[in-house]
Amino acid sequence: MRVRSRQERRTRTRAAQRVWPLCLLGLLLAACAPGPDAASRHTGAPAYRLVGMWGRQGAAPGELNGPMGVAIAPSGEVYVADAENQRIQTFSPEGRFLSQWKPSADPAAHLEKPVDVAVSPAGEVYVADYDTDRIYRFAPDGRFLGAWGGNGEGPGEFRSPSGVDVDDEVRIYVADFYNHRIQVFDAEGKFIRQFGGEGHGPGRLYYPTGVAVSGACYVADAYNHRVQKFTLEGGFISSLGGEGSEPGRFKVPSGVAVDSEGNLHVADSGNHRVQMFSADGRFLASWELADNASPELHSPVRVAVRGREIYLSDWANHRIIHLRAAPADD
Amino acid sequence: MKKRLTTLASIAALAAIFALAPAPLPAQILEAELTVKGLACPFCAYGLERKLKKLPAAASVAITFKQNLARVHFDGRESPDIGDFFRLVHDAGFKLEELRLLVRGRRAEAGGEPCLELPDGKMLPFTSDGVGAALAREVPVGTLVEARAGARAAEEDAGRSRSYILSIESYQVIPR
Repeated sequence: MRVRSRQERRTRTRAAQRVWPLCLLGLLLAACAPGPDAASRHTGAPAYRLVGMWGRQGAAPGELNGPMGVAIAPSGEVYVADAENQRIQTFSPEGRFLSQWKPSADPAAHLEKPVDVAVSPAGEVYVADYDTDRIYRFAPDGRFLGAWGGNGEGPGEFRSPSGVDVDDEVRIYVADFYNHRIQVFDAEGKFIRQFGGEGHGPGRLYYPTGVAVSGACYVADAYNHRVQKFTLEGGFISSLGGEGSEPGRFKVPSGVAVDSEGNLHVADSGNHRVQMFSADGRFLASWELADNASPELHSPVRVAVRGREIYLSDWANHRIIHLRAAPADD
Repeated sequence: MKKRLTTLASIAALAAIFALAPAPLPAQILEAELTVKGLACPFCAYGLERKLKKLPAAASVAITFKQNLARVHFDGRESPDIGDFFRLVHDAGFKLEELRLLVRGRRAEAGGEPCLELPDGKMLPFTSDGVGAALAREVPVGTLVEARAGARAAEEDAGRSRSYILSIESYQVIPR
């Protein structure tokens, strides 16, 4: 056993006295230093991390003008409903431009104001057009396969379809904005059912803008400032949110998506953020728009999720934002 | 046979004359600029844009979201009622804060008040102050004028606007 001399002990004590303040300073600096993403609010675990952004205002391939809908294909390609350029664009997961569809050659396939896009498990693409009151169906290569709808309030008619999603059995769910309802169709557009209806109580809708289907049907009930959960048959299950800017509250939530773990992601457009909730509705995390040049406008308007990859359509800033869901200590 | 051919030729000639003749566009609303509060939400703004596109003779609609502005250009075939702008904006869930028009009409008088008369007989009264006073004083009745003007409801009937008055900002006489 080694016995330390008094001199050695004194030297070590002095050294420790010098080191402790440095350690404390280091801890303080670490606590104050920005994390991997300074714009992110790590208010829970897991958290959102910024991966990248792409796009700028314009009409050239790869540029965007009011991007609204965003969807991720089974291949991982990102589809964007480029609303004011009247086209669909596809990008690699990293944001490299791949293709654009502007089917103006066929009048029946003309897109006037495409505001949302969804991709089926087989890669077929469904587009909601706000102005023509139709849902368009395209093959994975962009070939026009057909469309259905028309202006009206009857089954199969729309007054500005604002959101679209496809479930695993290729049933198409459409948020019908001015009719305050959700309509459900088969892959060819045959009407199956509708639910909702104008109102503010449970199960009622007030200007729904987005829909996501994953075991249940989640609806961005925009002007009730909440997200409602329904059975696939349209039975009311639960409601989340309410108007406000605190965590877990919304201002005009306009897009919803569900990840593989059942977490719900909400594009809280009026609060300029995306929020994440557990499957039982517990608030987990939020991420506020970075470098927002248009704080007076509502954005982001949509969210799409595949695995841990999350894409937001930042309508007001004409870009797509790529986030990753990761544990806070990742 | 010859008579029938002559008749057909006459009909064809008349049709050609009508087809080639320029449409009479002596006066109309050419442009409208609407200041609408609350165009922050794309779904609402696109809804308003869609309604404006359906106005009679609307050729194009452009919305500048950040400035809360909607601009409508008209092709001159028809003039919308000024009340249509207020009604459409209200139906879209917004309030029309300000309406400015580019109008081409004939200087007229109605009930002793200065007006611009559109080709369909619509009379648009204007206030006789400022630039409007100069227009009323210096431009003879019957003269074709192009004017930029603000428009507002002149009378209210149980909360529903029923007539409108222009406040002339600038004008120029259109030569014959």
